[in-house]
Amino acid sequence: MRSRLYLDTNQSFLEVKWKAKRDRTVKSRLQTGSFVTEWLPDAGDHLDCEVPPQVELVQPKLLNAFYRTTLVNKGCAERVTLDLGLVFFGDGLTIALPGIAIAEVKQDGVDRSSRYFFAWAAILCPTSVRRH
Amino acid sequence: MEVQKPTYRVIEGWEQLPAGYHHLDTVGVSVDSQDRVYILTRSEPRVLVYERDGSFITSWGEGTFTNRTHGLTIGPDDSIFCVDDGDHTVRKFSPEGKLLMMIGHVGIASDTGYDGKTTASISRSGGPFNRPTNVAIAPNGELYVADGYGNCQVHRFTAMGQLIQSWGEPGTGPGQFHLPHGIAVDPEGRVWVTDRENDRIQIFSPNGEFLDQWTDVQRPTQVRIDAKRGTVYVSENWWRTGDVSFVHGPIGEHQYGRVSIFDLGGKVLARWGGAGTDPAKPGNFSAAHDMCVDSHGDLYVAEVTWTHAVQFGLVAADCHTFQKFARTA
Repeated sequence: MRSRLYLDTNQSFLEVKWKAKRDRTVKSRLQTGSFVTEWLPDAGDHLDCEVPPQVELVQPKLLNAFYRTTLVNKGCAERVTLDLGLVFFGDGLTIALPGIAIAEVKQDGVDRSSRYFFAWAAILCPTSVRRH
Repeated sequence: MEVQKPTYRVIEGWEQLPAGYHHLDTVGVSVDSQDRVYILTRSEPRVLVYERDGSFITSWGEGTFTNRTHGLTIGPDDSIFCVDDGDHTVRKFSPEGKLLMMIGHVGIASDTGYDGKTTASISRSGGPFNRPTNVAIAPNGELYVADGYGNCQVHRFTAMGQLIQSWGEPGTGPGQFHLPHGIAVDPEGRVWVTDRENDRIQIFSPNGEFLDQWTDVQRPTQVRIDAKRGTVYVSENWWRTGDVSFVHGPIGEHQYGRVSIFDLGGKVLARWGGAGTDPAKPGNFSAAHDMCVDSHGDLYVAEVTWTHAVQFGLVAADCHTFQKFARTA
């Protein structure tokens, strides 16, 4: 579960993600009036998912902030998100990772032929070619 | 405004280390809102805290840093920022030493072409960080980091640690650096950067526009601004015979560590140490690396005597590594 606030539109959502068949991740979300840090009593009525037992006891454990750029493939159902300016907060500690980016391919199903996988493999696993 | 020329006397034996404690180099020093003196060392424990009379209060930081601790700055809320060029991080602590924030990925350096030995090998600017050196806190809470031995950039962060912008590239022109080492932000938000191996201080607007430079400095390691007194304090490192300045070329005669105090217009108000002095004599300097001033105007100077001189046999092992100067006028 997570609560999310979009700074550009000032919209907030309470989201529940779970694993469905074939290891697919499914998400249901509810727009909230503000950034919430606890379960809303009637949230289960509006979310398209099974609410876990004792959900009212959930507590915030990790807060993170980042700048996201989303690239959309116009040729198929594929998006790539690039998260930069990562900052994590939890247990009174803040960790900022200014030199790190999280890149994620989001597809309708898994297609390893995506050009992004090849491009990133080239970037993340640099190697030199030797003649001998 | 007319600024009085300050005078000082050195207080020998100021630092009252408890039995069993020992340190070599001191790399950073700042005072908090109560004039308590925080010293960052390259020995365990890394952070030593003293009253202004030199009596020991506490210590912390064991097992936290590499042996390349580099800079210490205290924020307006008395939080302690420490920079470690050995693991490429900036850390924020509570006054008691509780880690509150860390910027940077431990052990991961940006790609700048740096060969790990000389700043001359840096061929391009990189992101945060590659051996950062010091951090300054702006009046609005933003953080500016000088980066550093393996890079040629100043990075600007939000108070939360999110990167806002970076500037700088290798070179000797305006906005270029050869080892941005010390950094300060004045009350107007201008960013002062000691461009150590270019023998100058560069002054920038809050968003990195070059405004001015001061060149009447010697291998400057740190700059501190006392807006209340209208003074600028600069610690200056030892140029050893045979060293090569990017601006002045090969150094002929030793130019020992020095401290200079300017008014805000760049006029020298006081200066001592430097060429022709005995660097080991109390009151002079071997390798002045940081300094700060307390509410009474007293000055504290940290020196990297071992890294810069003792290991090369240039001064004896008992040479000072930290000195307090009481203001006399």
